[in-house]
Amino acid sequence: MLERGERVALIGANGAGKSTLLRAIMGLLPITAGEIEVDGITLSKRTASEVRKRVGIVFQNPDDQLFMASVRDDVAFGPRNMGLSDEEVDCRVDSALERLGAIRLKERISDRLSVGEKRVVGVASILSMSPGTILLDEPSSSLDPRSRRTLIEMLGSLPQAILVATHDLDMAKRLCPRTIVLRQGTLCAEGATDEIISDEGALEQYGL
Amino acid sequence: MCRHDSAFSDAVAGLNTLELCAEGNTLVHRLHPLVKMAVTTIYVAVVISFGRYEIAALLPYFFYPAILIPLSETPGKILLRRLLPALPFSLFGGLSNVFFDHTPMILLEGFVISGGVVSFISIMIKTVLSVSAILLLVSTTDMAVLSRQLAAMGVPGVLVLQLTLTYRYLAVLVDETGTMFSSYMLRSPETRGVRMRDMGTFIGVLLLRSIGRAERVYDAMKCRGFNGVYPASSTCRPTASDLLCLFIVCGIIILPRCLL
Amino acid sequence: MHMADALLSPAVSAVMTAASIGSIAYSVAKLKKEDESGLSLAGHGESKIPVMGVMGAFVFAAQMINFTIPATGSSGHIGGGILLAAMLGPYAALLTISAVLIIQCLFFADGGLMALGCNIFNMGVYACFVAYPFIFKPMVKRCLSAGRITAASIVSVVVGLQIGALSVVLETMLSGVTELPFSTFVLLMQPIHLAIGVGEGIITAAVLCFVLQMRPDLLDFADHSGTAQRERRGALSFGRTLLVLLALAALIGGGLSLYASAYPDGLEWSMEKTAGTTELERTGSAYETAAMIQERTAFMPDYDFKSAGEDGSTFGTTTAGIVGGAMTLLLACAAGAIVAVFKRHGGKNVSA
Repeated sequence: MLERGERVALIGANGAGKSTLLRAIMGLLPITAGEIEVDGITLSKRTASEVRKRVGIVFQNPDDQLFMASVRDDVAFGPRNMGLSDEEVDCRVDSALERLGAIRLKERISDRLSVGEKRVVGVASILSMSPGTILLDEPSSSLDPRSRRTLIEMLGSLPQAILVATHDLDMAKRLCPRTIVLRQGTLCAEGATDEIISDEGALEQYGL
Repeated sequence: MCRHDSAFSDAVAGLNTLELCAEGNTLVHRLHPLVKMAVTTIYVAVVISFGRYEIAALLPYFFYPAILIPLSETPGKILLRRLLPALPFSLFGGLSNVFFDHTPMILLEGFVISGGVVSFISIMIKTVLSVSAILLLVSTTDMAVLSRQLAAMGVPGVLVLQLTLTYRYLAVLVDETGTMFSSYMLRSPETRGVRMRDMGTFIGVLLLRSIGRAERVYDAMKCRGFNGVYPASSTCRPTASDLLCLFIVCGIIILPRCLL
Repeated sequence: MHMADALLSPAVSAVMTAASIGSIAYSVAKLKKEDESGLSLAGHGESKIPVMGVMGAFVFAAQMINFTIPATGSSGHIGGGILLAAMLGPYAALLTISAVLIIQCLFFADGGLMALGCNIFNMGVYACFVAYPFIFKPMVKRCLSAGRITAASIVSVVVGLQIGALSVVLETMLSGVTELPFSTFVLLMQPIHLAIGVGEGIITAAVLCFVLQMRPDLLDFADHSGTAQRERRGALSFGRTLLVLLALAALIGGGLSLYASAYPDGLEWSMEKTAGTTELERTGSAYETAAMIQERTAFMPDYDFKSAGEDGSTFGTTTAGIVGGAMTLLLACAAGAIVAVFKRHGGKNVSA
């Protein structure tokens, strides 16, 4: 239901199942009911690695997302696992970082980056694998207003399809034309972001 | 409480200051990591290979840190501070020589200096030299570069990844522990540290949190194609000038050992 | 318990480095096999590597929490060997400890580069490859109760640390850099590490019991206990292990005290002697006594260095030597200063 290049917001109260859905799409959780299909591939234990080449996820906590010592190693981690040649890996690292205007961070130590920089590098670490779809879990949490603006602009400029799980309704409005509302693990509303967000009565009901 | 709190911040700060140095861009920083690792190892091995009553022959080896510190623009003060933890064990071993070795060694203006004192001085010199050499290695080469080089040298990927991850999550977990500790101490003002009966829960919670983090990290790794094999990374080969530097410096280090 | 470079001889360092590299290589191979057979991480067929990495950092953090040793006023912290082995299994635990020690050596000046082999062996190999498989696991095999885990933790940590401490003493002695008599060194090291071991054992037990309550799936020994119990009936039982250990302790303790009583209060006695002779009168009696103490207490009395003083080759080096040494140091400092000035100058030129 996510079209090519489409940007969709996933909203819902705490515990509504937003993160669970994202993790299920990545094949990190056993699926008990229903089916997940990516580019015509039905997700199963066997196809998980194929799906992960097509879909990338940026986790909420950048310290979970970035696990290598330096930015360069982190962004190179995905492409290297894809078995690409050294030149190809280097090329992808540079282009991913350049695309996000973060090439100056390349030789930095991950731990010494600011939260905003870590988010950007987190996105770069996914972008370097050139997936068709990017999932983001709370990308704007604990960012200062300026880093948040920069991040929204940056995400808006990407050609990939994006699914953002967030509490940040303002970001949802700016970034995503379409919104899905989850409540206690089930889909309870879907439609144009503007309409959903302007209906305050319904939002209250969803726990937002 | 102060002692503990400062221990947490010190550990992180210490790591950070050295890391900051490693971000520099001097002649020494630009040297190939293989050269620096080889030179450091040989230097330390040569220094400890001197006999235990040797002082005079060790002194020329002070040239190494003396030249390298300004050349790599490493702040001497930081280096000195990081050197301190290394001293107690050597001091203990060295002092024992003063007590137990009374062989007369040197006659000085009517005083006899015993072999114990001589070997004590020798041990302390060796300690200062070898530790500063190691610190100079990490203050000019960051962990990412070191682990890439280790992998290129054929060290098993498991161990390299292990080093990388331990190093990466060191500051994160020490920070987290510091926060936990502060909140523990704020609610138990009468104690100096974590009480023994709370120790299991305190460290247990820390452990479960660490494992929780590990599981999330593993998820992130799997999502980026990790299948249990550490992907070897590209390293540039040492240039001719790197190798030349290696041979010259090693020659300078080894030669006095053979002559003296 | 971290050994330093300066107290080691290259030969001891080389042997211990080789031994540690061997143990690490063995663990890597074993781990690879585990990974392939899908046995790792409590049988979920998942890789253990990420957990190991973060656990290494955990050990660092946990070591910042000190406990006080009663009646001594000094404090200790956990080494974590048995705890890691109980969580990750011995092979993964050894790699984890090795990484911790390597980082401590490089970034915290704790234990040297040449001493790395010794340190990995003393703090890692004994805990993971001796104490854990031969003491801890047999003791908790029958049933997984808090009492069993507590007893197993304390005994295995204490034994691991005692062997480690003894190993420190032996490595130092064999290096021949220090002059400390074997008996004195042993009497200093073993009791201190007994106290630390009991402390660490209690904490390890408390942590493992906590994990047993919260996440028993995480324990390395828990998932094997059910099946392994029936498979290997012939292995040592809890009671028998305890008996063997007690006998061993009595034997070692008895032997040590016999050895020690032959040289009463070595340290104190000679300290007094030194204090009385700080001016070192050039009469022969002090030297003779000193030489006598050495003969009696030295681990290797024939060690050739000791006679060096007599033949005059090193003896009698006069003030000239000291002046020369001072000159060398001054020159080294001057060389450094010149480089610094040159760099500053060069820096200005670049920026200008």
